Amino acid sequence: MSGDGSPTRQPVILAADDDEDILEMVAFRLERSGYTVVRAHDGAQALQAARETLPDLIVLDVMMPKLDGYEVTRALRADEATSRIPVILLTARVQDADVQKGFDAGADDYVRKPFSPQELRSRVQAILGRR
Amino acid sequence: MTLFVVIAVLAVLGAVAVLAALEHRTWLTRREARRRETANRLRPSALALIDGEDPQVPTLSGPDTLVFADLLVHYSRGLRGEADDRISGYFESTGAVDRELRHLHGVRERSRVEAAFGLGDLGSSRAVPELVRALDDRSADVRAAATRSLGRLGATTAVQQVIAASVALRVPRAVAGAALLEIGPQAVPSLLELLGHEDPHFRADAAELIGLLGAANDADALPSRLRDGSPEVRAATAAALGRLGSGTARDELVATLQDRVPYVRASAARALGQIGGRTATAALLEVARHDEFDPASEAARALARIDPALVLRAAEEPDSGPHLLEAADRLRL
Repeated sequence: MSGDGSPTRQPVILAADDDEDILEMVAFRLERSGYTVVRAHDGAQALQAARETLPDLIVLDVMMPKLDGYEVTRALRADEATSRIPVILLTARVQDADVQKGFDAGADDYVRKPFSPQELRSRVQAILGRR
Repeated sequence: MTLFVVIAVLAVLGAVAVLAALEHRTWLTRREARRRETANRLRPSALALIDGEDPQVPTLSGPDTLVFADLLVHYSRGLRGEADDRISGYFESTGAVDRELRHLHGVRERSRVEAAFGLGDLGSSRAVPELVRALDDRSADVRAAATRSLGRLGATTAVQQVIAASVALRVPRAVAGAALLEIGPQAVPSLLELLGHEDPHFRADAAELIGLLGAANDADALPSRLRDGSPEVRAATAAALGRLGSGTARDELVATLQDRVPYVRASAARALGQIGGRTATAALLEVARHDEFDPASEAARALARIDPALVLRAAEEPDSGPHLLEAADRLRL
């Protein structure tokens, strides 16, 4: 409950990854941190879920079937309804050029794979705290 | 009559074989269903152990232990940092690491292969020295499994030994390369040291891997290798500089277009195309017009990346040669 007695809305995070193990670990950590997690298993599903649920933040794997993380981010930025939703890319590609490509596409931050659940939580909290 | 008996016996045997196969398949399906059910039951505990906050690891026995370990192994492949440490800590506390280390020294090849492979997934750095020793195992499969596990463990201390095993053909080059790539950018300091190794194969592999794993500032150590005595090293160095996009090495790469070995010149031309910048165009044009097939072809492609308009103009000239004509045709597509 918030201070005025109205129920506090849990922030909603869309997590998208085609690796079921990674998706479970991401969702588990974020749910334990008090977020509601919506799951997607490929890029097209992620884009659709983002448009339907308008989450507070999106955690996107880069290498996904149908649409990769860069393409999803660009599509989100091009749509007025989703253009301001923060995006964290979860990526095994950590060459400078790949990171730059993510930022050029419109991502707000990135987390390197293999990943640390605690680091992901900190990045999520930092971005949501700034809003 | 005899023929009838034989046919009848064969028919009965066939029917028995089909029934046995069906029974076996049913048994496998049931076993997999039980394993999935157990995994679903234990998954929250595995995730809680990885997460580290309020972990409640159940007391396990029998098949549950194996399924729980299997879950942790799967999750560990996507994790690093404290979460990965917690998984290796769990396996150390249950004695699984010591057990696999004993199997690594076993008599049966199959046990040694499974141990060498499994130790990479258990995540314990205690296994690194033993896995390095396993690179000299008499079995090629054990050596390959140990190499893979050293990559999984991010064993930066084993970089030189993995390259040595690859150079000596004790492990397949692809397996060693994959392991070193998995170790990632942390392998670069060791690779930079190997640029000075006495064996040119080490130097060439090191240069190639620096190109794949390094960052722009790692390129500073490479240009001197463009004057290495081994053409393999010179070609690998040029390729690495191209991948790293090192503009400061452009002049050295232009000089390498005069190398006496054609595949080194080709590698330098390709690198100049990747790096870009118009200061190299005159030298590339010369190579594209007059050099042997491979360097000329690479130079024409590089020019097409750097300055397409120049290629289209050059292709109209009488001495353009086949490679500039081809590059121009590709640009017009």
